Amino acid sequence: MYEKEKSLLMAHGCAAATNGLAVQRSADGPTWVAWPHGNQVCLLRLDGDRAETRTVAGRSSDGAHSVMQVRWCELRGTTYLVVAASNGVDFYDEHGASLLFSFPFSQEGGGGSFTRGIATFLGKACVGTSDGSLLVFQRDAAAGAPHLAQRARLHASAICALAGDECHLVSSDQSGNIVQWAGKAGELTKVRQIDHYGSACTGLTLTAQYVVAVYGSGHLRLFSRQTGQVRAEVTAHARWITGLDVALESGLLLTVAEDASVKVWKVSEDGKPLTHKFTEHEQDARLMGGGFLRPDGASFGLAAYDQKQLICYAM
Amino acid sequence: MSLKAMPLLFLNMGGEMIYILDQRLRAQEIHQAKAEKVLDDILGLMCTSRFIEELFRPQSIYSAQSLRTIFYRLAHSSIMRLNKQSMDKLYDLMAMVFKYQVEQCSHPRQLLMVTLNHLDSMARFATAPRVSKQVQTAYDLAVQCYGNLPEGEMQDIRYDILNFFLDYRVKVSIFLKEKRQNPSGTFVIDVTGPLPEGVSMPGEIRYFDERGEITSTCRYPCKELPGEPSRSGSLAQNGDRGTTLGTNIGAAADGGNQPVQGTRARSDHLQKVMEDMTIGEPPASGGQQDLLNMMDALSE
Repeated sequence: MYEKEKSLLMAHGCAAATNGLAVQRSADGPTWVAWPHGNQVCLLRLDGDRAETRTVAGRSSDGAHSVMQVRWCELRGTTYLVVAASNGVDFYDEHGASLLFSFPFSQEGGGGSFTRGIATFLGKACVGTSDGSLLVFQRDAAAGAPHLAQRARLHASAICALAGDECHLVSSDQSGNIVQWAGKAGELTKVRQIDHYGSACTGLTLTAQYVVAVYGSGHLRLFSRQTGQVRAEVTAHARWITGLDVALESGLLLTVAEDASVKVWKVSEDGKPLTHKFTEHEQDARLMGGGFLRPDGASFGLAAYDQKQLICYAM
Repeated sequence: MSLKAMPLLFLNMGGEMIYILDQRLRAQEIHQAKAEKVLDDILGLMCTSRFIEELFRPQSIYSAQSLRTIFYRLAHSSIMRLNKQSMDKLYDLMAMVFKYQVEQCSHPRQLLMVTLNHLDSMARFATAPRVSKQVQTAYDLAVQCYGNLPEGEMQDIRYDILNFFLDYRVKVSIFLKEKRQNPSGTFVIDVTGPLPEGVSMPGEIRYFDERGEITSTCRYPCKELPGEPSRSGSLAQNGDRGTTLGTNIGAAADGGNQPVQGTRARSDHLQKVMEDMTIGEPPASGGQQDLLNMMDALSE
């Protein structure tokens, strides 16, 4: 289904970070790829055969803080590069040239302090934290800077992943619980909780009918967005799942894990919810993220811990 | 970032240090009493109660330079003397072996098993009763701190340690020889071992209706080989950890024999490490205080 293509070189190796790879896709413009490296963000701009790399220096220059995850979020027509770091959330312009806004975060207690999980929902950027909160950032006017609009706390353990579309935001935590949110009067309100299965829920995405979740136990599950009921359960990987992405145009789903394998699935909105399409093992790659490089899912890239190569596959 | 990574980083690298020093002491046929004193001095300092308390205090991981300096001081706290080049090689070997062990963990909880394997060995190397007791305290603290930690938090710690070693790539001859490391410096990933606890063999899809009843199941093609059931690692001293990660890779290279004091056992991979190690006279008193002062200064 997919053939391996020439790998592309980023400036630095990918950090150990679940859902480490971010992709900004467009049908006709360049594709941007990003991953964390220490307290920096490595960027790659792909335009046809041309690839250029860039490194965004983190806000804090000492090594005590690190970038956990990056994503692109659009707020009121402006796209930001949102960086979830161990000391807070940073908003850069779309391609990391300048830091526009910072929200410091620190958590008391011995458990650790970080932000992780980024999604866009109703024109706002939502970021998770180590104390189980969701930070909601918005811009009030076209010329305004982002600011914190709401802090919602429902999870009892650290947030692992967020995903959002026009109707719902979903969040998951280290205990494996998932919360489905709607927006009412501009604020997040809880729709339901999907209970855990005994393992951290490490990745989330949404299709028209399903909440798609992946776990540290290697399971992939599809839940009905209408009822929260599980509709499909897959023993997908032999190790901790570290990446999940969906190409909504084609219904293709991508999972990667620490078992060094990448798998592609097809989600159907009628008939069998999920079927397996493709598996490949990446030799000696401790995969930390994967993402489709095109909206139709015809190609994807993989990130591996401590390796500079963006591993590419295409149909 | 986690505030609980430092003890694991320090105790595991310290454990590797003890393995390497023991093998060099034997290879250089250092008199048994002196060899025991070197290891007791280092173990004793590593597990001093005040030092261990400081170590287990919630804190960020130290910088690479600070950790290297602590191990340099530790190595010179005994009557052993190494030149800088040998000390650098010792540190590189300690760091790369532990990086390998952390990366190979099939499940976050296995990181604790690796640590307990190291602590078991440290207890066996300790000769003086005072030192044995100190190692025991470190062991008990490790079990207390990490024994019931949720897997997600343990994974955060594991990733913090992996990120401490990000970009750190030194070729280790025994790893290259045993095909555990590639010529590029990356580690070979082996996923053929037992499935971790809670993980099922890949290959099955189950479908449910809206009431939660299974309607059908099917298999999809899987290249994974059937895995044997996993063994839950034991927290008991010298228990079955379910992994050999954290045990002495040098002993395996010697044919699986446990180190025996006073025997000649040359390990090729250590030939170039610490060739000029010398054992001298006891240092002036205050060595212990220097290390603790350094820890205090580094933690400010």
